[in-house]
Amino acid sequence: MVVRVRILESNEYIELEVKEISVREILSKLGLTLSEHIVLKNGEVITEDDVVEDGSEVVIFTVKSGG
Amino acid sequence: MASFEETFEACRELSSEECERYSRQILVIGCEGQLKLRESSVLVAGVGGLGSAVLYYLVAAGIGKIVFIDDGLVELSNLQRQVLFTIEDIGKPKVLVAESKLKALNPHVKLIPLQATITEDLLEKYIRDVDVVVDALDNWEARFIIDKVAWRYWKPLVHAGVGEYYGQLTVIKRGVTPCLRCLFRGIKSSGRGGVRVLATTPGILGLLEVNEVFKILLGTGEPLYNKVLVFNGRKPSIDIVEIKFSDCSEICEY
Repeated sequence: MVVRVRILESNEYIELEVKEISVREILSKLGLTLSEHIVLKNGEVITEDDVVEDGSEVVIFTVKSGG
Repeated sequence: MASFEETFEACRELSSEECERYSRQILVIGCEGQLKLRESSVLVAGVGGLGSAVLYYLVAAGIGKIVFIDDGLVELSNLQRQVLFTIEDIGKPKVLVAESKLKALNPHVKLIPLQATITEDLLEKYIRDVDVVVDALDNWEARFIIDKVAWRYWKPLVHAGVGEYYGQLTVIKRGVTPCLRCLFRGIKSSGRGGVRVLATTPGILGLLEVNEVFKILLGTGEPLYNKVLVFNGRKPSIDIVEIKFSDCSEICEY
């Protein structure tokens, strides 16, 4: 029962041993802010209340606002 | 050795001065490509770190008409990365300083500087007449306004954002990608200013934006549709993240 998470900014791969977990909980566990990160599950953008199930692959990348 | 005129005999539409000015580029995109650039128009929203790089290269490359918008004045803290400005420009409107510098670089380009705040009404007047819109802004509120108006008129929008050593780049096009707001729907709007950024980051992302503009205008290569380029200057690394296309035309508030 594993959700695989790739964090682009640090190029880390993390395995979370859970049956399911919300995006909010993933970011919280990793110490990342909701407001600056995009989360993809199998290539689809998901948001804070979406749930990721066992076996899913998640990619997280930072989005910057400056110009 | 053949002269430039002989080499580019086919470029009858271009003057000899233009043939020489763009000669290195014509070898890549041909006279037809150079004419396409000359006949094209681009709107650049924001004349800061991204916008300085974007404008400089669009003008150098010979885009026909460029509308650029910013309501700011040049400040000392801009000079670390906003390469259009120098010490004597401090306190002056950015768009007017930029116009002067860019005119000196390439007088063939028609420049339309607008010292104004980004509003839907303002963009309505200009976006409908340009071929591509470039987001060189520093806040999400204004970004979502240009996204909305570009979406309304089916204009491709080249987006970039920067901070510290990092940046992201993508191209939004109605019918091909989701709108920017839907793509980045988890992102919360935040105020402008106070951004922490290395001098080189906006330059790098700005030039990548221009590269996307060229591909769109020339109809060549693969614009970053449904892909986000994520730049990490600390590694350095560039990742291309593929996004599954979801058509948000029916559901988003635009």
